[in-house]
Order: sequence, then structure tokens, then C-alpha cells
Amino acid sequence: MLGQLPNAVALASVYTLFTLGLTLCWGVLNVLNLAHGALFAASAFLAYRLTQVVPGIPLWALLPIMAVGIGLLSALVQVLVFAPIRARGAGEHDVEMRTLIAGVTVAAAITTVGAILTEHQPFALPREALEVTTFDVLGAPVTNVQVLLLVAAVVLACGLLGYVRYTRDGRALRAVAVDRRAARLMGIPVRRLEVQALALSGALAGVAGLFFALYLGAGDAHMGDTLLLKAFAIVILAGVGSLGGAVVFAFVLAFVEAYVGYYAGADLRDVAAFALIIVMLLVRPTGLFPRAIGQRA
Amino acid sequence: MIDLFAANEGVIAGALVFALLAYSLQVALRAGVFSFAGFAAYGIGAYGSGFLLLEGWNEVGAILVVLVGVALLGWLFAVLLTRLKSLYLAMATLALVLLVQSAALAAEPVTGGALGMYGVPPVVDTLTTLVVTAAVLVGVLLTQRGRPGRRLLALRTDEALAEAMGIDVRRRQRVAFVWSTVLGGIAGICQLSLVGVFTPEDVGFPVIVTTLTVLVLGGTWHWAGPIVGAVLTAFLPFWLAAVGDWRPVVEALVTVLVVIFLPGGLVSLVQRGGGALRGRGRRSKPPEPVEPAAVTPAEMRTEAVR
Repeated sequence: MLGQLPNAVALASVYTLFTLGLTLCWGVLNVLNLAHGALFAASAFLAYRLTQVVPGIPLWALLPIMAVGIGLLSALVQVLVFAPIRARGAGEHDVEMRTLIAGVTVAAAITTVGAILTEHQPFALPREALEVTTFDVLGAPVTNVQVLLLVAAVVLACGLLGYVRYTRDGRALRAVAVDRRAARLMGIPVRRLEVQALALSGALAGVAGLFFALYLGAGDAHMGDTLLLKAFAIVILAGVGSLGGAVVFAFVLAFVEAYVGYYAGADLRDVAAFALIIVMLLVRPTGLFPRAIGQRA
Repeated sequence: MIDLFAANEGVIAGALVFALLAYSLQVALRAGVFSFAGFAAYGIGAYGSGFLLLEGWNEVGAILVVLVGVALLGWLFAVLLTRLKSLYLAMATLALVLLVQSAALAAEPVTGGALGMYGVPPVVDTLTTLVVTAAVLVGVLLTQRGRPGRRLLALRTDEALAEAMGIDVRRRQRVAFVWSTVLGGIAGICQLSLVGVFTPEDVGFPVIVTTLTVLVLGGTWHWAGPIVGAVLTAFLPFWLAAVGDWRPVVEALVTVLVVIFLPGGLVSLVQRGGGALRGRGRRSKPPEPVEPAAVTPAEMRTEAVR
């Protein structure tokens, strides 16, 4: 019972990092980036390739490289794909659908590159990156990866919350969410902020992907696929755009999953998770804590 | 012609199944319903027909039972799910697809688990699939013109407007949703029969991505779109033989370019060219959903539920 706790917390931390990035783009900018899962996986397989090219590269060097690299990749997707779609869109629904299709397609491209780079095999990051050590906390085995994950999740979640709530750019970002046109009339550089938001979201996916591969001990090019849908469920449950709610429900889903998986088996865990998502969408499509647009983030 | 057909039968069969899947997606989209439920029906159709045939049912009985079952399920989902709008509906139906996939993996005694279902006696051949696809094409063509065509255009352009014009929006969208699942079910039966194997991997992201590619390349709103897209995507590998493993990347690149620069797909290119050749000023662009004013995010949120 207690033995599952560190696993549940670690899983929750990954969900938190992943979901915050997704909800930043969707809730705040109304861009549902379906390439987010592929970016997450990209962090893991690019890190794996990097450790092959530069043997013995330590985690403290790998982490910023992946955060910046995936952030740039995400910003690139915004500049090359999502922004042109919005510029040529015939209306919000049209833009939404084409963004979605483009996101799925970009995800497929990234995943294919990943599969080729990793020779279609699951991969493991080398031990030199981080020596996994286990120690006891109140009788439960805790690894240093789990501790690092939790610390990263807490620090980055607080940082993101602070950025969106209190900085000048963060407030401007929320203004864009409320009314893009009005924000532009107020002199807010909408395009730059959008790129910035996608970059931040990508950086979070980069950190999450690297840690997830370290935590599981293995990864593959498709590791982001199911996570994307779970993150979507978390965003919905929390209410679109609610960063705090996303953190809470990341923990709820992770705990439910860890314990259902432990007691009922991994097969049933996924079936139960997807059924739960459908039911939740039906019952409360706007989330348990729906918020007015002005109060988002 | 006959030789050409025989030589490429496998490719043609694959293209037809993707054309059917693309029609399944298109039928829903044309009515303003962004639903992936057709892919769930695709899996249910394949596994359902395979199960009944392995149990020794006769062909017609099995096909009928599966199609009626898929239609009923589709109706149930439609009643439950069409309350949701745009992205919410898309993601809920995506969860449905992944639910079918994980259920197929878990229910190994029936579905064969990860190895898939095989050894099922085939019930349709390529020619039958071609006839079925042609019938679907004619059906879509008939509902693109005249009164039904205008009704669909109103539905996907502005629901409030459609409602005001006396169109029963919810009923029409439910009907579209059910047709979408039925077409998905047909595609599933054909796929299992034509290929002989059906695995959980056949119900998942890659199939959805390829179908979206087919539809977007061909033309999302045009009756010929799925066929044009399916033929292109099926024969693309031969033209792209040089890129080998990188094929999905090239496909993705082409799709993204089309999504950005050619929202009406390749069909719209032909139409535009044709219009220019005829030298008339008449615009022959396919009906695209042109929304007069952008919906603000604040309205979006309330639009999650109708």
C-alpha cells in the first residue's frame, strides 16, 4: 500500500509537467497542440541519441539541453505550422480543425523520426547519465529519480503559475486568451507571445520526457501517445485553462492509476482510464471547476 | 485495364478501405460533427464480423448483424456524445477509439490479443469493396447537391443559423454520426476480409493519421476528396520508394503544406484549374465553411455544451 506511494507521486509529477504545457497552449491560447506528446517522446529519444554521441554526459547537462531543444522545436512548430494556419483561417472552427489535423500530422512525423533514430526498439538511457540510488523513507523504497521528478514538477509548476499570474508577459498572454483582437489593439505583440508560450510548453515537455524515460528505465518513440489523451482528460477535469486544477487532477489520476494498476492489472488500468475520460466528458464537459475566461491560469 | 486491376489488387484494396474510412470521417464532418467514432466502429466491425464468422455464421447473416449492431452502437454514442462540441467531441471519440484498442488487447481469447485475429473466411473481395465504395461515393455526391447539400452547408457553417432556418440540428447531426459509424463498420469488415488479419494496432493513431492525410489531401468537403486522396496515398509509396523509412515524414510534410495552403485539397486545385480553362468568371470552389466572424474564446467555452 505504502510501497506504491513513491510510484504514484512520480507518475503524478510527470503528468503535471506534461499537462501544464498542454493546458498553457490550449486553455490560454486556444491551441490544442496534438504534437505535444510527440515532443515529449522526442525529448527522450533525442537525449538517448545524445548520450550515444557524447558518452558519459551527465543529467545536469542533459536536462537544460533537452528543455531548450524541445522548447525551440515546439516554437518552430508554432512558427511554421500553427501560425500560418491561423493567419489563413476562415474562422475559429476552421482554424481549430486544421490545427488539430496539422498537430496529429506533425506528431506522426516526429514519431517516425524517433522510430528511425532508435531503430524501432525500446531504448534505455545509459547509467552514466544518472546513477539510480534507492533509499528508505518510512519503509517505502524511494529512488533519487522520483525525488528529482517531484522537485522539478513543484519548482516548474510554481514558476509557470508565477509567470502567468504576475509577470508582464504572463498578463499579456491572458489578455490574448480573452480577446486576441483587442489584445493586439492594446499593443500586445500577440505573435511573439504565442511563440513564447509554445516554447515554454515545449520546454516542460522536454523536462517531462527526459525524466519519464529515466524513471521508467526505458522509452520508445510512441511513449507520448497515450499520455496525450490522459493529459487531455486532466485538462478537462480541471477545467480548461486552470493551471492549479491541472496539478490537482494530475495527482488524482496518477494515484487512481497506480493503485488500480497495482490491484487490478495493467490491461484493465487503461480500459478504465479511457472509460472514465468518456464518462467525465459526458457529465461535466467544462470540467469540475469551470472558470470564466478572464480568470484563466 | 483488367490486367492493371489484377496486378495492383492489394494496393487497390488498401486504397478502397482508406477511402471508406475517409468517407466515414467526411460524412460526420460535413454535418459539423468532428468525430473519430468511425474508427471505433472500424475496429468493432472487423472484430465483430471475425468473431461471428469464426463461430460458423453464414456470410450475409454475420455482415447484417455486425452492421445493425454498429448502427445501434452508433446511435447510442450519438445520443450520448453529440452533446459535446468540436474539440471535446473529437477527443471523446478519440478516447472511444483507444478504448476499443485497449479492450482488443485485453480480450485475448476473442480477439487474439496483440497477435491479432486471423483465419477468418473472407466474405468480400476487392471487386465487392469497389462496388460498395462506389455506392458510398454516389450517396455522398447526391447529398452534396441541392437541398440536402445546402442543409449540410448550413449545419457546418453556423448551427444557430441552421436552427433558425428550421433545420433539426441535433437530429441531422445524430444521423450523420450514425452513418459515420456504419461506414467505419463496413470498412472494418472489408479490411479483415481483404487482408486476413486484424490487430489492435489497426485501431489507433496511425490509421487515424493516414485517414486524415487521405481526406485532407483529396479534399475535406468534396465528394471526390476521399477517392482522390486514397488513390494518391496508396500509390505515393511507389513514387516515394527512394525515401523508404522516411515515407511518413514526407507524407506529413505534404499534408501540413496542404492544410496550410490548400484547405480545399487537391480536388479544389482541379476545380480552380477547370474553372479557368472554361474561361468563365464563375467561382467553382467547393463549399467551405466560411464563418463570418471569428468566435472568441469566451464564446468557445460556452460552446462546449449545447
